[in-house]
Amino acid sequence: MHFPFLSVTVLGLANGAIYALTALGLSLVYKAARVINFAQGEIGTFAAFVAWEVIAKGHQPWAVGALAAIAAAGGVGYLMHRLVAQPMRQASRVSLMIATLGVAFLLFGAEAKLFGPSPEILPAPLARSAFHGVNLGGYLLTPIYVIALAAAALAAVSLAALLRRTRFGLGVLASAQDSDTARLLGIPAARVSAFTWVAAAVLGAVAGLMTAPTQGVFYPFFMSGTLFFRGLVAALIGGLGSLSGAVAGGLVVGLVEAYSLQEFIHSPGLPEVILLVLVLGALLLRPQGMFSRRALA
Amino acid sequence: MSLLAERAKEAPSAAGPDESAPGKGSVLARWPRALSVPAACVVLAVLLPLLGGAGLVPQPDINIFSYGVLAGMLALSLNLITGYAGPVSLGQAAFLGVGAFTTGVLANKLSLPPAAVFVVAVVASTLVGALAAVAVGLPALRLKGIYLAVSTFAFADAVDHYFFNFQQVTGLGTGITVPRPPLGPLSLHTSSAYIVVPLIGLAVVWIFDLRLRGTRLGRSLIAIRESEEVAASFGVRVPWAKLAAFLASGAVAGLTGCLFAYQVTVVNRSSFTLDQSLFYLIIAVVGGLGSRGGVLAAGILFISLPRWLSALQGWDFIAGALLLVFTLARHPGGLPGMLAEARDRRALRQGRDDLEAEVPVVVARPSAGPGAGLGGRLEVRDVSVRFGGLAALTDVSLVVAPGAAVGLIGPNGAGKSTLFNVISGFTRPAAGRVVLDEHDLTDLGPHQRAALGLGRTFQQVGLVKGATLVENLMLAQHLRIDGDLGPLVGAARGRRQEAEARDRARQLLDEIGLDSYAEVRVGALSGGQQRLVELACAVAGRPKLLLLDEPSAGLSPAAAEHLAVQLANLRAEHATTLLLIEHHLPLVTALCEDCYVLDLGRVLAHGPTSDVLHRPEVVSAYLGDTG
Repeated sequence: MHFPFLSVTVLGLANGAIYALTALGLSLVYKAARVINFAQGEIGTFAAFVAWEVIAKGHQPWAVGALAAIAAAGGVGYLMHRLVAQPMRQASRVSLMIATLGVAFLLFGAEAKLFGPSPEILPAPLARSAFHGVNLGGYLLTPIYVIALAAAALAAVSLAALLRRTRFGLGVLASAQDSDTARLLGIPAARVSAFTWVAAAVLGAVAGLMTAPTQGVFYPFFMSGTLFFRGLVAALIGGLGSLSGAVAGGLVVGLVEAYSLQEFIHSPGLPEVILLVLVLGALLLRPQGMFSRRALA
Repeated sequence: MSLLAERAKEAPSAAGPDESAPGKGSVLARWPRALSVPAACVVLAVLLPLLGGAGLVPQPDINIFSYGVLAGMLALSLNLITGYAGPVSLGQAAFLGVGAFTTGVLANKLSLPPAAVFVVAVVASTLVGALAAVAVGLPALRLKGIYLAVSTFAFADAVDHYFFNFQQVTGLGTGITVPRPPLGPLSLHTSSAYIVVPLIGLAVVWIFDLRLRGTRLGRSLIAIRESEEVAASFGVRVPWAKLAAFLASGAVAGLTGCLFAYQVTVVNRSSFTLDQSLFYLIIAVVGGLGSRGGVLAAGILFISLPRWLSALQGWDFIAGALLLVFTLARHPGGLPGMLAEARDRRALRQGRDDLEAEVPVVVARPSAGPGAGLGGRLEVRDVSVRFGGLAALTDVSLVVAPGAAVGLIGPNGAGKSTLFNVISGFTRPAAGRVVLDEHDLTDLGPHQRAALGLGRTFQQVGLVKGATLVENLMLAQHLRIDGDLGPLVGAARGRRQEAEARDRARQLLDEIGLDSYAEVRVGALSGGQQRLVELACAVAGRPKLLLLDEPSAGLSPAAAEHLAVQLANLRAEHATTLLLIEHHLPLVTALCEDCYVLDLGRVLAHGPTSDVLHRPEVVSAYLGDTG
């Protein structure tokens, strides 16, 4: 390898953490509704626009903008549960998937109408603080990447705690296993559905708030184009519906991307081809995920 | 009784000249309507250059319309795969790009006159688009539903970021220039002149689409969309048909890409991004998947309107998305689907007398004769099937003599349907052989067995509910038509075979008394009527051996009795060998000379029907061991 191995690895992991957030959101919704939510990325763009409106135009502190963005995304998630997922409970999963695609375009259209179609800059958190990042053997990991790693870890750990340690969370897991039996046991199916869509949207918002500053500019649809696909690959190689697999898949995709970008610097787009191979491999050979030991029943 | 007699009197007249005249009229009425799009294309191709040249229609408006026509063509290409065959394509714009860049490269590399380059580019872009789509379609042989959609998405993303990213191919940011050729003495540089090209392209694609949907391949695709198993039972080679759908879709998209390249004259990667692909899917769904006219209209309107009326700009995505979600949540077929439902209801109302009869009275006809001597001999030797630890069948052997009708009875879970699945090839036995006449079927797939003369019905009705009665009966004759290409291009033999299949379909519908519903979709019929259509389908393929899985399931006793009469008629007329699973014992006694009894996966008894039904072990298997 001809590149600074340590710094590329850490950068890959930091990007991978953001992909893991998207993959977590996708896997969570898949677990509950057996559908791929094509709006997962665009919810992040929408959240980034809300934060930009509050921070850059409203001159509010970063944290206020982030909270507003998360609240707005949660609202979108709730509406998706209420107006799309619930009415389409009995519909084919492919139809529901196309409907989530419609939501992505609705958000896209709304962003362009509400915030304008041109690229904007979302300032990074702690941009004006004394914290300038972490020095890795001569390579400076900027604060936004440090925060992205921390935020991803925090989100994953709190989601795991919520699902495994609370009564409601266990209900969500039971419902994902067998929704009919779960309902017979008194677990409210509608509340479970609402929770998964809102939680996934919040994960999407966090991913958007982390991605926009690292990419320099952001614009309507930008999360759907790049981040969504990487998150989807991560969720697939982790095994759709597996939350720990989603995190691992995200980190793998981040590393693969970072290494291949360095290795094949003169072949732009080659990471996409590698990701395609990963997707097809995951779909055709190991639909249960790369890290799962059990076969699909 | 008197009511039945009255209907019996009506029935012959229903098949008389009074009824058949409007039937033929509707066929005549259908053709001009379907051809109105190419006709409109020709009229516009004459009018627009004249009006535009004279300055009566502004050039920019014609230009916008030209984009709309191309968008309509791309939406039609998406409809070929997603609307007809079912797999959701999330990467259609990538095929458009493949076609456009093929044209771009040829326009810059070929040193031929521009008109010759144009001809080469049209052919090459169509071929390259088709090839690319087949490559994307290959995983479709193993993947289904959401997973298949994701694989098309990943392909499109990789093509966009990798292949469209080569400087020498695509010129990157600046794009690649494609100069328009002259058309004979005419220059195509103005929009009002170039509009002729997309309009001709649309007319060609429309007619291709019309022919495809109306012939063997199109019927296979509609069958696959609903159920691959039902399609295979008709003899459709599912993997090939799916690939053919991708191929046709890619060819149309590639051709569209070529015309698009000459439209924009500078081809840029940004026209073929993933969001474009996804938006075209929305257009197709809002237009009504499977509906040619709806999809075309949606394509033209969604692309043209926002450019014409600048006030609409930016609202197209919002409106499209809202319409999409509404369509999917409320009316999955969209507006065209609602219209089709209304049409079916109207047709059914017109023939309400028949509908109330539940199962129409059949007039026994003298045997037509051609089927005589068709019956084959079935032998099942020591077949065993295991599902995990459960032995579903153990050493089952049976013989059905040529032309015989044999019953297969037994309590629930005895393994009757499993045995049918083994005979028809849907379940592979752990041991044993299945032989029809001199052919060993054991290692053949369902469609190969169908080709050797094996027909079957299913416990759940095995028809294509979204296709019309005539289409179902023509699907049942799938293997009597040699290949997909002949009928599609209108070769003499293909045309003749299609016509024969259509005539036989009409004749069989007449025999079961449902002729007036020929153009109604099967899903709109009652359960009893669907059973009858299924029987007619089973007979239509002229099988040597017919497996009937509970034909009277879900029918009233009276309807079951009619069905027995019907079956006896069909048997007399078509002289096929019959193996019948049935719980309704009067039907078995009436129809079958011999009978096998299965219990717990083994043959419990066999022999003449009346004798077998009275044996103590059979009675106790049915009623329990109390006696």
